[in-house]
Amino acid sequence: MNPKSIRNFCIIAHIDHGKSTLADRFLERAGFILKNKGDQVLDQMDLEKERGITIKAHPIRLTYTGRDGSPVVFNLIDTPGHVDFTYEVSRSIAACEGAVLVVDATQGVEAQTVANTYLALNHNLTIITAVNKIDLPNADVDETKREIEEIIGLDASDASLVSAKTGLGVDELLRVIEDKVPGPSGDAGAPLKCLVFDSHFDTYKGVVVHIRVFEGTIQKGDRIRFMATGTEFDVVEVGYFELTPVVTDALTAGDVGYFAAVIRVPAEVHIGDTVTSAARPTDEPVPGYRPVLPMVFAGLYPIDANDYEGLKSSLQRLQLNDASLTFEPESSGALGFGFRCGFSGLLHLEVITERLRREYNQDIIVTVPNVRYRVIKRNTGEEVLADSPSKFPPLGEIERIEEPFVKAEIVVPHEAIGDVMELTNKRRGIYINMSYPESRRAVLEYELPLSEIITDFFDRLKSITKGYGTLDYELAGYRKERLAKVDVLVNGTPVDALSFIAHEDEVQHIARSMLQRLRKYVPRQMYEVALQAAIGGKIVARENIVQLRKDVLAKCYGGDVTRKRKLLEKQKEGKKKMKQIGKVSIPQEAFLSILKRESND
Amino acid sequence: MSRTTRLVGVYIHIPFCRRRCNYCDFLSTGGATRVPDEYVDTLLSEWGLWAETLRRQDLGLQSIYVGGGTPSLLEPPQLRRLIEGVSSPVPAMPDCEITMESNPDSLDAARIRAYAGAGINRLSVGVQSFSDCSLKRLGRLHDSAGAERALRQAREAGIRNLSLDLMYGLPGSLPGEEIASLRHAIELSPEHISWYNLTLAAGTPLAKSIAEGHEVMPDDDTVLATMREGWSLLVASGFEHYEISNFAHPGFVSHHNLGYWLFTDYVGLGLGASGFVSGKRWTNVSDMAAYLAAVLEGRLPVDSEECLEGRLREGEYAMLRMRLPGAGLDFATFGDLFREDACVVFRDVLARLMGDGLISVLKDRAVCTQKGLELNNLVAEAFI
Repeated sequence: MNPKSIRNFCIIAHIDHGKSTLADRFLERAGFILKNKGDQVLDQMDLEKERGITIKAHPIRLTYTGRDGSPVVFNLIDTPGHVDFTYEVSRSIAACEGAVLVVDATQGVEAQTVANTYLALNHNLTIITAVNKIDLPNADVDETKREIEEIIGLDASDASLVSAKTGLGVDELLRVIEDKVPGPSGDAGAPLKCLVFDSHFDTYKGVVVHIRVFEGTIQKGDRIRFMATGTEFDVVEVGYFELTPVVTDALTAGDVGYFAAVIRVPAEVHIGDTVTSAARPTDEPVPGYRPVLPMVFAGLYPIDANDYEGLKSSLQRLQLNDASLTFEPESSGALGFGFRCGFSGLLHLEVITERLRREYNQDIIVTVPNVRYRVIKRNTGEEVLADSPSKFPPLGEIERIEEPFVKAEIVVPHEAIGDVMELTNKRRGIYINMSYPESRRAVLEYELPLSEIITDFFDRLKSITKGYGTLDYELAGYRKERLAKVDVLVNGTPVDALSFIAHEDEVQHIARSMLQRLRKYVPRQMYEVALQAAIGGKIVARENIVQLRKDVLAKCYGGDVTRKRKLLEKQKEGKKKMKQIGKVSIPQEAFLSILKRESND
Repeated sequence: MSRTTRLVGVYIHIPFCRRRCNYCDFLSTGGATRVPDEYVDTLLSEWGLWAETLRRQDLGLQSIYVGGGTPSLLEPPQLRRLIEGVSSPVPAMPDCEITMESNPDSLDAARIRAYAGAGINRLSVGVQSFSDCSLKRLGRLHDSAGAERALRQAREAGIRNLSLDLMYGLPGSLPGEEIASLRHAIELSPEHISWYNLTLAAGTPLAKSIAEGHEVMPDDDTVLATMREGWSLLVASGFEHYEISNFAHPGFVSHHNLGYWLFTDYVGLGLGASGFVSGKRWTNVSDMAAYLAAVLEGRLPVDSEECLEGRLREGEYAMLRMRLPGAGLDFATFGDLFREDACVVFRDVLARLMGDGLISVLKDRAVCTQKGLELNNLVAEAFI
């Protein structure tokens, strides 16, 4: 393919600003027949639609007739849209030369758009602005243009005006993309250099690697090497995506497509890695690779012990499409047999647990998530990497505990600096630097404990900055901190699944708030229930649940019987899903309630 | 009557009230001054639809229960037509219990006498409280003097089986007030008292008022203390505690209501009424136009039905039996009905409930302990 006739681009848009609808129009213009009207093609998973986030990028090749009458190929690369996936977004962006910034003319510029636009600018992408939904009566094109100029700082005077819904202006927008987005450069004869920006698992082909070719040519029979891991494979198929994969002879510099090489282990393929030829390797990999490390760990347990094998196979299947998910068996006195799972962030954890519930019908309990601590033992100096409180040695054997810190870059509007600094101080942040790349925004650099970031830090940041704050972070090593493992006891029985690690200064506060939340969710039982939090043997907080003394239906006559029975059946069903700790039934919600701190914590 | 006669009860629903009470979620329309003849005709036609099925079986009418709503809005001739109509083709047993619910505000001496003449031999009076404040808060149309007068008139009219409905656990009750009400009721020496803990039903004006904070429901411990005191008082006054909320002098249990808890067959007639015959339970439609139209077209106005079978049927039976403090789950009766041994079917349940102190397992039956009555939902839940 002649690189001059290729346009690699992505669409940047806030949720509901019309990205998927616009993509559908592009697809139609390229001659694809969309079966389900109103059902957008690119977003595949229900969960994505519901949460308005795109989890998996999905590239698609569209062929149009160009200005000069010859075919022009558009590779549209979809981008995920949440902070937990910033790295994946950056890899998708790195595969493009241009980005279409779509802004809803009735909503104006939203915060998320700003962050991704800067990401695209940092990668030197050509940004094309498009004002969407101009067909709506309350569309305010001028104001939207003004916002694009003021908030993002892009010239919006020649922004394309479109209605993705009606198709108005779409053809013109395609012309603008053709005219303005540069064709990729790169030498098809040079040593192979491809960026891995996504992958998916196919039962027959193994891992299908989504690539952007920067230099050289890749074809069937080539022996390729992943530069980060050094592993080598023989390519058995190359192709590109239309609505379905299309096999082709070769992909050359500038192309976007995929290859399969009978890779059976998804963890062998890392997003951001560079693929090169084993025989004639390139000197330099594509810059920006970051190994995806699990940062957040939590125990996943089946409610019903008989579902253990089912949960295991569900996790295995999820892992096929999600190399950043790790899991290993663990057991808990309270919850039985389950898995210690590693996630890239808290959202990733939520997405995985939701998918397990919905797509795999697994009834699971998720334990309090935590980071991986480094515990140095007294006398021996032995080092224990503990991704679960249960892996902590007894209190007396601990010399010191270290926790992972991240270097965080927080971009905030000028007026929110004070509030954000207060937030970071509360979260044990260490101030490094502040800079003003432009008058309206400040970039704050902090070192923060990862454990403080993984809870609700991002949500708090968004709320303080009215959505305009952005956060990017990378691991910056371990630091010694005054930390303690807190055990939770229900009627004197420790519930290992509820143990958590907290900073000594915050133990009292967190323990009390946790017990109070737990109390709300544990139904009154026939006996008084004592909830306690303890460090070693020392009780640091206590709450009581008074016993249930009266639970009786006054009236149960002819017409009431069925209703009453069904009500009790439902309650009974609910209780079945609870975990028995001694004689106490604890509902799943109680475990979940511990996941998130209250906003005033 | 032959030896194989099966007993059946009939429930007739009168969904009309002068005014809906604030706490009530029964199916009824407020603002009525009388019961339309058309509705009475339809009730009889609905009974006619059952007649064919029932005639073929050897049945005896054990009880008729006219409930509501406010059945005392019926004119005595309307009531007479209903009772006579229902008593054929299924013959009434000689001791057939015929109950009518009533509100004090729609009763007077002449009316009660006429009802008795129409066939009523048991009158249930919805007193609810002898505190005028509480009556007002509940949205009742009578006061305590009116209730007392109605009860006296019932006696004068020759009603020998008189029942009172009373409630406790009301919002805004003063300490001791509800027990005083109960004491007052006992002093009027009715044969039967239904003493209910007020259940807050969603969608009622009372529930709204509570949600908005205008009124406050008493806490569980207060209600429990009242419940215990009241139960002791009733038993000490010679009443048998035969169901969680029902108390009777010897020989005066409500046979109709007892039928619900003993799995006796009954036919429900009228808007939203439920019936239970041969293990099948059904509920009529709750829309008046749909009800009238269905019966007019000769169709049973059934909205939903379910067939109870196997373990579900056994569980529900046990659940209902465990509402009866004295009778409990009688093993022999269970065996006759299900051809199974309750001690085997419910082995684990009985052991667990006994371990929790909720039931006692006697030689011939399982009965609730005091704790099992107070936490009866836990007992019921275990059986289903």
